[in-house]
Amino acid sequence: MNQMSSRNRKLVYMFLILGLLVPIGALGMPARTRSQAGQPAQSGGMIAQMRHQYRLGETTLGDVDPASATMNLVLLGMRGIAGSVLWVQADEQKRMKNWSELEQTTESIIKLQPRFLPVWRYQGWNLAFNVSAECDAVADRFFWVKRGGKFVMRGIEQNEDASELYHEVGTLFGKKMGRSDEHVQFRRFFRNDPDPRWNGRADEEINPDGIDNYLVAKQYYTEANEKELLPWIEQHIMERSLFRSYPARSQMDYASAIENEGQFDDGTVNAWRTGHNDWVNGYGREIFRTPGGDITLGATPEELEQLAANDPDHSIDDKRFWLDRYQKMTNYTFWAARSEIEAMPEMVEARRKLKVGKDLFNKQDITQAKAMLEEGLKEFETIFDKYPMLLDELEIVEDVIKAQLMWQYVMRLYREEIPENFPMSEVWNRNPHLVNRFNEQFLSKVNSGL
Amino acid sequence: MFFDPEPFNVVLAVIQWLLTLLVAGGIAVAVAVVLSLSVNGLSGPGKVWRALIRGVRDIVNMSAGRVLAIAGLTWKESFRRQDVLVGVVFVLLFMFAGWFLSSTDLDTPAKPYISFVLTAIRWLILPVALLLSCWGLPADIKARALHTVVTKPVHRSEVVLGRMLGYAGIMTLGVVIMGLVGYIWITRQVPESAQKQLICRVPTYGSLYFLDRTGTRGEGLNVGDVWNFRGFIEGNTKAAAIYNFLNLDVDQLAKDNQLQLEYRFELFRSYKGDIEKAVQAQFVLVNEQADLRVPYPPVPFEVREFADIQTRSAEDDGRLPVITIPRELTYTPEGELSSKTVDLFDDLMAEGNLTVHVRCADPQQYLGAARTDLFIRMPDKSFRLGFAKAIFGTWMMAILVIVLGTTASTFVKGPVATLLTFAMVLTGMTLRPFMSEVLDEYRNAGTVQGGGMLESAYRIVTQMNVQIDMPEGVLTDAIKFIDTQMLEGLLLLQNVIPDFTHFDMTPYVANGFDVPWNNSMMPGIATTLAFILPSLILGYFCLQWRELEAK
Repeated sequence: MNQMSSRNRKLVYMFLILGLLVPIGALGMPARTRSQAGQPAQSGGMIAQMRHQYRLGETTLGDVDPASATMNLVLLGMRGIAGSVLWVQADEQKRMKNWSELEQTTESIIKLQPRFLPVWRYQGWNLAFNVSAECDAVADRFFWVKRGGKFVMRGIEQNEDASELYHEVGTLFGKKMGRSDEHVQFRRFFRNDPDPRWNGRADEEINPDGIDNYLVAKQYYTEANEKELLPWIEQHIMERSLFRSYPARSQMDYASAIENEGQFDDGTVNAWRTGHNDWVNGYGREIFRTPGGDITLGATPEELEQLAANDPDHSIDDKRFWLDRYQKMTNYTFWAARSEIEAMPEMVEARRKLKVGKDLFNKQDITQAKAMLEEGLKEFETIFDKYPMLLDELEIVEDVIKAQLMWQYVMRLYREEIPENFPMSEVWNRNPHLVNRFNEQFLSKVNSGL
Repeated sequence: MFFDPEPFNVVLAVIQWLLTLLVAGGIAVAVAVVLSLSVNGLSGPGKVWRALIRGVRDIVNMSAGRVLAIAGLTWKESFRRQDVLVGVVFVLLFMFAGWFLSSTDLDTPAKPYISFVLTAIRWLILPVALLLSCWGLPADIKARALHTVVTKPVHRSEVVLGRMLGYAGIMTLGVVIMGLVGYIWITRQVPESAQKQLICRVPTYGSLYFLDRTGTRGEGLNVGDVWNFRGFIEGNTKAAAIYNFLNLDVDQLAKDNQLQLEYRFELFRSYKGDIEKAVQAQFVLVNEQADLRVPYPPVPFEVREFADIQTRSAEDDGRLPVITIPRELTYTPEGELSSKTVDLFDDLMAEGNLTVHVRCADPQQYLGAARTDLFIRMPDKSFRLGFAKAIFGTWMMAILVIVLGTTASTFVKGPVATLLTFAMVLTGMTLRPFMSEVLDEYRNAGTVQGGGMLESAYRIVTQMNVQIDMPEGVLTDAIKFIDTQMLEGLLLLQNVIPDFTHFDMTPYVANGFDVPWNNSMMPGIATTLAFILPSLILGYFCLQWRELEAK
């Protein structure tokens, strides 16, 4: 039985309470925010500091949406069930092509799971690829691709360091806009939105500067790479050396796209030069950890020896072996050479001549077309002699064969004999299956009057 | 949103109601007779008979004054118990609703705002109705207040009805206030750009059949879609989707000197074609008797797929999927050189009927159509009216909950009555469609795929596919026997559980449609009315036989 008087007991309790306040304060004092006191966010109790150090706090991940936080609190731990029900609903709405409701359900899902990256990635992809494909009008398709992109962009606001989401936006604005069947319209709409609200300008929410889709994609890929370097971030999309190649690849996609659209000026040359620089001096200088130790994809033999000398665990042969493997995986050597060649004014000029020649042929100005195609092919021959690796570059080979078919057609019309060593005959002879295929397509086009 | 245009069959519903009432009444009397025999011996049935006679007399001779007096008391008591505090929750919800709904997104339509308000009102009204109705009578019994009341010349039927009316009054006040606040909130919160979406379209649906590519009557094609909702017709062939609109109010339509057809077709391309041009379609307005076939528009129009009126982009783009047909139509009949002019209402819709042939104009491309994909858009009604109808639906739901809750509270205590009523509401709201589906399958096929409750449980536990037959043996026989009996029982009792889905009119209003009388209002009203009389009778007899001194 306790012999202390009531007053003494209360005093003991008070001292115990005061004594406990000290460790509780040390452990649990909340952190000050920067805005409040100009103090670094890691101030506060030990728990607050650890939360900041290991990036476990909600605010360290990105914006906290009050609606989302409230909803999760109100659900009292039933978030998982609610999330599952909503996913089932979203699937049903997709099946029944109920797009506006699907979008609303998606909004609810992200309110419940704002930090779960696959939700953002999956639903963004769903809107941009699946929903857009269900629409018939290209403007509608573009609308849904944009919706997908904007959706993932909102994911970034709430997950500031999520490298994967930046990469995903880059993919939607780059590859989806630039390589779909509707890429001509999509790329145009990206700069001149069909929505009347934008008065013919780009949608400011996705393209505030009104630039090319590939350049916007490059910005997101670059950001993705920067975030990927943060020690607490991992990306699970693809092998790291491939993942980090995207900004440079996007720059080259841009250069290639404007060239395909008929732009053959300094802008094209500069675009390829920037691409080459990004590839060789940016991407090619990055260090990648391989089973053979650290390498850089653009390493010269001397640099490789230096790397081996600094790495006691791996021999120079290991380094050479793994460098070769990684270069092949990323197609590093090819893109380095290709971007260098494409950046040459002679190459741009040769491409211009082929393009003009084809346009003249389509306009039935066959005399001028013949001359232009012949000149272009000859210039290509000079470049190919210098860089034989281009013989394996399918895109250029395709371009050349199509030009040769037109040129030969005109020659036959003029009853001129096709010489044995006509320009770029090596490409012609090396690819008989491609020649046959393109010839069929060409003849059917010519015969149908297209 | 896809609506079922099938009208509610009142006569059939009344017959079904009478049958259910007779069967349920018969079962109740039979049980009462058996119980009375076991308790009172041979004099039991006589007592039952006298109780029935007294019951009929009590119910028929109810006094409006006494019923209203009890209703008034119930009203005052509810205010004294501060049951109306739910209004505070309502206000709080609306204060913070902007968090969940307002967005910087320019494409936010009005739909989520409307859905939010109507859903919030439903879910706030429901628990109040439940708690009020289920706890009132048991509290009176516990406080012995009812003991005092029944010693006065008040019939117990009047107590039950008075209670119901009192609670109904409170709910009416709550629903009206919430509805008004909700309406004002919607009109203020919906973005300026989406205000145009606050409308009430009045569709008139027709029937649909298809002609195949040879011009013979057949089914629409399936283009590989899992969802077999639309039938597809091939372009530039004799294939057509034919809509028949019957018994139209031509005088009403003729007032505007035009007819609006709104569509929601789907397209399917078998080859890419010119992707910058949408697939084209054409309407042909037909009057078979007068041998008139008027194509309109005169040249095929580009189909605006999925461009619903509820999406901002469609409106701003001028892409609303509405074809406006003028009264006077000039066209050149097939095989003739000179053009003719006909009057849409006098010539084409002479008998109050209109037939519209929908054809796809592009070869090898397909147009998908369902019955609800084309409708005549009658003059729009005010959004206020549609919203009021949806609020009326919520009110009917509250009334039904009160009727069920008050009845339950006459034979069980408050917590049990609450659970029982809530279970009925939940079943009626969420599980009834599933139950109807299962019972339809059982009624038609004599069995249910995957079995009844026990068989399903067995399959889940053993991870057995529904395609695999159950192993032969005594256990399977027993499971199947019990399942069959349960399904038979469910067949008998299915109408005892009210279908609460009838009261949810939110989809109509949120999608910019009027709440139709035949398809939505009537079933709701019928369901509420159908439960009032049986519940009153059940409540009366339960209260009659209940030991009121018991706490």
